[in-house]
Amino acid sequence: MKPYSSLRRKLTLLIAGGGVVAALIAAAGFSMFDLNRFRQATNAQVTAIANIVASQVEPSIALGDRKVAGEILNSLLADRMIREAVLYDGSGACFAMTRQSVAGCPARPPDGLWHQRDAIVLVRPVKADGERTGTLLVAANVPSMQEVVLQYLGGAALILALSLVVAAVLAVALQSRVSAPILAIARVAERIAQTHRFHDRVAVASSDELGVLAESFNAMLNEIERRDAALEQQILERNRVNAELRFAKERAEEAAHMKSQFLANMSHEIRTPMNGVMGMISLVLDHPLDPEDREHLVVAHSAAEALVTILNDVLDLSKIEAGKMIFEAIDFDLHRLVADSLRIFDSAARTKKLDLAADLAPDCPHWVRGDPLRLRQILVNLVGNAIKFTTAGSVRVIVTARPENQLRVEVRDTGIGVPPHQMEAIFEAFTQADGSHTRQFGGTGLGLAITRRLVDLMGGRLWAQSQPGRGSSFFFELPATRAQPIQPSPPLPAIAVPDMLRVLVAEDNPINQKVICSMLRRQGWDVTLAHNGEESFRYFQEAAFDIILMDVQMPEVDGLESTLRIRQAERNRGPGRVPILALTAHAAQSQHDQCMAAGMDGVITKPVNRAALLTQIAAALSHPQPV
Amino acid sequence: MIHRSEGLTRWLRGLVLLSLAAIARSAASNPEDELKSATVLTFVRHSFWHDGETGPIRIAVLGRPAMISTLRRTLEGRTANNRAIRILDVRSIAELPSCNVLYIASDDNKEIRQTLAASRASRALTIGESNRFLEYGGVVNLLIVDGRMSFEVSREALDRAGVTISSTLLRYGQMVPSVAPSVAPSVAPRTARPPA
Repeated sequence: MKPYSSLRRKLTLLIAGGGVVAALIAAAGFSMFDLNRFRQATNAQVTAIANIVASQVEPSIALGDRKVAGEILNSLLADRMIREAVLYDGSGACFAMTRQSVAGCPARPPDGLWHQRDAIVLVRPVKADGERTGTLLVAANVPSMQEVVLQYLGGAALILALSLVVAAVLAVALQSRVSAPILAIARVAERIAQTHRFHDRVAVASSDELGVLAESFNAMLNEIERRDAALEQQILERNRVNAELRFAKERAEEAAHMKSQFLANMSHEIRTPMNGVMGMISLVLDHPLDPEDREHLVVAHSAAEALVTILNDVLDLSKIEAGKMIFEAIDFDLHRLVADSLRIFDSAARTKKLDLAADLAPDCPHWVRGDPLRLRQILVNLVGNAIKFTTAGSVRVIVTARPENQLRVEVRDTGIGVPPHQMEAIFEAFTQADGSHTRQFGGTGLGLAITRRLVDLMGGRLWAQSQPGRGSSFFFELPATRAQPIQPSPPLPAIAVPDMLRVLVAEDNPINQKVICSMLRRQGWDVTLAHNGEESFRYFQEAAFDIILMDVQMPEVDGLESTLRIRQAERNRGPGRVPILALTAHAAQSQHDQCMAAGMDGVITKPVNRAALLTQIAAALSHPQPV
Repeated sequence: MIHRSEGLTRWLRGLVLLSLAAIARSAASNPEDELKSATVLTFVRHSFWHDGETGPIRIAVLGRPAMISTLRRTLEGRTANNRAIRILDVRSIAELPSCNVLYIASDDNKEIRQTLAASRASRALTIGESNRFLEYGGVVNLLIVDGRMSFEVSREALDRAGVTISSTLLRYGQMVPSVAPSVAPSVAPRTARPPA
């Protein structure tokens, strides 16, 4: 702590300086006053003495008695004030004088009172009955101004010393009465600044301004402490609420996640048997049937397809909400994608007698980079929606290029339209423009919600314009950079599958086993079934196969791992390479790449379509890959 | 010319004054008489008569004619306590006038004794210049000691005369309480006082 001596020093200097100045002024004033008074008193005294002495010595002149006159004059010296006295006779000659003056008789000065530096000289006539018989001179000592001033300066020095002592004492008193309380406050403030603990208090001793200051300081500390406590309470409360909120949020998120997970699991679990159902139905449909049975089976097949579509939508929504939707960036033919997407609805449009057509502007690029699967999904959703809600008229898909590599697609219909107040609601999940629509048109209401989210996630935007009863236009814009055209692969030769083929199928799901094995056996091929990757590798080593169909997702040793082992074994064994085709439910490009990297020769997407299955097998056999 | 005539006038005036002073000095027989005369004046001025008179102070003188003339010359026209001073010439004891001061300028003891006896009723301040003046009932006796004036005063006579002399003056002389005729030698040591 710094030494806080300045206030004390200042006050000390003030007191001491005041004392010095007061002492000097008093000394000067008293010197003047006293000297003046002394001179007046001396004047009066000398005058009185001279009066008496004049009458006393008057006869001596007449009598010529210098001796008695001298005695009288000398008697004056008893008074120390009188320095000298001289008596002159009538002629002005020295008649008598005091002892001090024996050295010589001063010349007679004129009558009057004369002030000398250190004396008062009174000269007066000696008269006898009005006759002047002589002159008397009396000189009195008067202290000089310097002498008096010196005396008083001595006094002043004493006063000075006293004032210094008093100043010192006062400074000490001040230290305890003024400085000490201030320092006490300063110490507390400093301690609080260091410790940030506000329970310290200044001990209030005095009732003066410093006491008030200390009390105010304490009051301030009280206030700070009170606020601190309140603040702490608030923070605790807030923390508690926050924790509760966080807990609630976590629980909600967990619940949402579990819901999504549940939906995803359910969808997946439902889809797998549905694949089986559809596969079985298509197997039955391959057989000759009577027309009534065939129709029933076709209805069952389409119902199963609708169910799979719904399940796919639910799965997509779950993925989007879980943030697990991944987009690909590959080059594709935009025109072909639009045409393929519309072809799906050809029969539906024909049935409803709708004019369905695409209109691609000349400036829009042919090849673009993006996620063709998702773009196709968006288009199919919007066109399907348009056809669903249009009873007569047309559905048009208009594609135009926008600045900054944006692609704008408009799906325009002449349907029932959307009321303005529901324009935003239709993009919400599980919502349709009108609850009654669900009954009339069917659908889950997920299509538009998924579409909008997909567009958003792809960095674009989706919006709609509509006039109820006249039709709607759904627009979306997506970033789509131009891409270099890919040389179209040479047309596949006509499917020429061999009559005899040894096929190893690795599949863990019994239904899929049944579907695939049925399809293969129908061709008259020799099918060996492995229930997992481990088994498939063992069979591969035990027997020779012409081709292997490998399910990617299997317990224990999955398809990718098994493929890697097989390829390794082939390299060790020598020449000869068995084509391997992947069976996967994931249509994503990334999965495709993964499979190819593991050493597979192609990918077959589940649910397995017989035609696609045979085409892929034929392609794999006709283009043998190097080992 | 003017300066010269003025200087001449002043010189002439000075000459006249000097000659006058010389004449006066020659007329005044001796300095002792002058001193005595001055002393008498001093006594007159320091004495108080209690008769209530306000007229001139009358100083009767008898004895040596030189003294008489000196007194007349030096005291006539002077004042004492605002009273004029008159010098009365006494030709014989028989015709002693009423006076305030009686100066006996004589050392003839018989004359002194007779005169003092005659004046006893007049209550005058008697001043003499004889060794036995106080013995004979005089009040003040003037003495010349070492060229200065001194005096002796008989308290008894002073009281008898009813005159008060100021103490200022008395301190210059000797106060003699009582003067017995047989105690003549007491005066002698006083007169034979060694010079101061």
